[in-house]
Amino acid sequence: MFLNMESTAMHHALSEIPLALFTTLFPMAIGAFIAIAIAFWFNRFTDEQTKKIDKLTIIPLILIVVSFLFAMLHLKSPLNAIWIFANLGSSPLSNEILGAAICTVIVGVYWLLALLGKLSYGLRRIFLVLVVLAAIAGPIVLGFAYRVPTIITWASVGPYVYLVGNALLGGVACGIAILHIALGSYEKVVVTKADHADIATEVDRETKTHGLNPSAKIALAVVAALGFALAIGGAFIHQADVNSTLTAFVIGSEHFADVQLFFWLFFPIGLIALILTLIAVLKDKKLGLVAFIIYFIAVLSLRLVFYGTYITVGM
Amino acid sequence: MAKKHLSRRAFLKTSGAIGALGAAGVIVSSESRVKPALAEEKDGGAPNEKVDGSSLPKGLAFYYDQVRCIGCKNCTKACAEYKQLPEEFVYRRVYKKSPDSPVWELNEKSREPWGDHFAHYLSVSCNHCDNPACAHACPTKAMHKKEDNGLVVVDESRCIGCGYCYLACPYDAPRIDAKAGHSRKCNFCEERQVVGEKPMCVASCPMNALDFGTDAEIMERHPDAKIAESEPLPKFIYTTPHFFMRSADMGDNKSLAGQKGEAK
Repeated sequence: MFLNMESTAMHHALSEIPLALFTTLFPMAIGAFIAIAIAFWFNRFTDEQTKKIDKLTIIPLILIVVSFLFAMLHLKSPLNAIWIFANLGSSPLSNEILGAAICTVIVGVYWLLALLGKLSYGLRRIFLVLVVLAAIAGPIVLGFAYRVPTIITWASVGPYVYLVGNALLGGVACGIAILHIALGSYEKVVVTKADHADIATEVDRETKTHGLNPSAKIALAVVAALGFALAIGGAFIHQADVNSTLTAFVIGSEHFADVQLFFWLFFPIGLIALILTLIAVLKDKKLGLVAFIIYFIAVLSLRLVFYGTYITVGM
Repeated sequence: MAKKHLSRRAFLKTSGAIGALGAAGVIVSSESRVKPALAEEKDGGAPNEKVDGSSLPKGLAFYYDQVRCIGCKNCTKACAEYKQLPEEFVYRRVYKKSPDSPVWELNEKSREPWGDHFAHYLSVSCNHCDNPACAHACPTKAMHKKEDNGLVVVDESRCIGCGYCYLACPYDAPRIDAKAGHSRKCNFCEERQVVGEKPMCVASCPMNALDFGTDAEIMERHPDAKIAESEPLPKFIYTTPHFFMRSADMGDNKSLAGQKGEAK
């Protein structure tokens, strides 16, 4: 082992902030498509509701684009990114970006077709299956970037697990925020139409159910809770792998002491985000955005731990 | 026991002081030997690294004699000045391990001698590995192994400055030059070698602790050379480096021929 006087775990963590932001935001944004898929799967929305949801589905897409911009920030010569796929198969980074791009294209095509009204009820359901697969695969392919045999602290299944977990919980938080905006505004629109007696009953029913039926709510709540469970599990798996590395290389645990605080911050902050998400889903409280922001902070802290706990097989 | 320890320590101090005086003299003479060459290079700016190196033999390696090294960092300094590197980084680093320290230390910001006569040193740069982790990790193939002579170099026009080469290299060789916007690393002074000159680090070592050549040349000139994989270096198998050394602690190191045989 060696000690670089200029390098600490915190230094490593902070120097990779753009990547930490990318790997925090991308899974949470693409995960929103899982929540939207669940909503469509369990509900038969009206055309107006569907249009509003489809329009607002641009939000997670924008967040995905923003996450890619974060990733670009860590490049010193982004214009050379045209060569980014030159080393596909060998370079973990090429593989990661291609995988993430494919997943983004899938959800993007879904959004575009939905927005253009090209998706019938049946076709949408088929497409949604593909969208959910892409939203789960997206966080997993981010883990491809860590398949570097010489970096031993990256050789862990933990990050794959918690990236998926973050997509589920963060995605539900983002998704429910979108659904609340879409269905909430629909509620206002239909109430103004309630003057028409012939549709009053229908409007009343739609307004009461708020667009999401109990099955959808339960499914979203389960996905959110499962997401947090996976995030906790993945975080501890990675932590255990890092600790075993420290033991194998006879490095004291104090080596990473300065980033350990971030590891322990994840759990309480993440738990708050989970509770707010569950309230938003089950109680129809518009807390999705707050939950999303809080979980973003929690996940970012976990990502900083990941980049801070960096050890190669050598120097 | 305590008396014996004290007398050994006194002996070490005395011999260390004598050694230091001698080494200082050698460093001064070596500086004067190197400086004219550096001045010539500086007149024309940083050396032009874009040369046709196809005449060089494949599989060039560094040899480092840990027993001879005095931690003067002349290799670091000569290389950095010749390549006109920014202050914040160097291509060749000299690590130090004091007898009373369990860890190897690196002070990258200083090109001045370590000045610890009781320490062990380790001078490392890029080892132009046969299985370079940096080139495998590079998404754009900017970091690549040249087909003609096997040197691992950076194509600056393709580099995106992502830093993956730096993260992946277990020798800590490549670094990102933020101002230049790309990765930089040792190119084995290819431009010097094609005109028959030694790499600058080798040429500047006052103790002849550094040498270079093909595997066969190194085995001939340094029969005690071993593949460098003692602590804190990674095991040979990870990247197959072209780096041989005579270790101050030869303990369980295998012979070069033995390791080559095992690798096959």
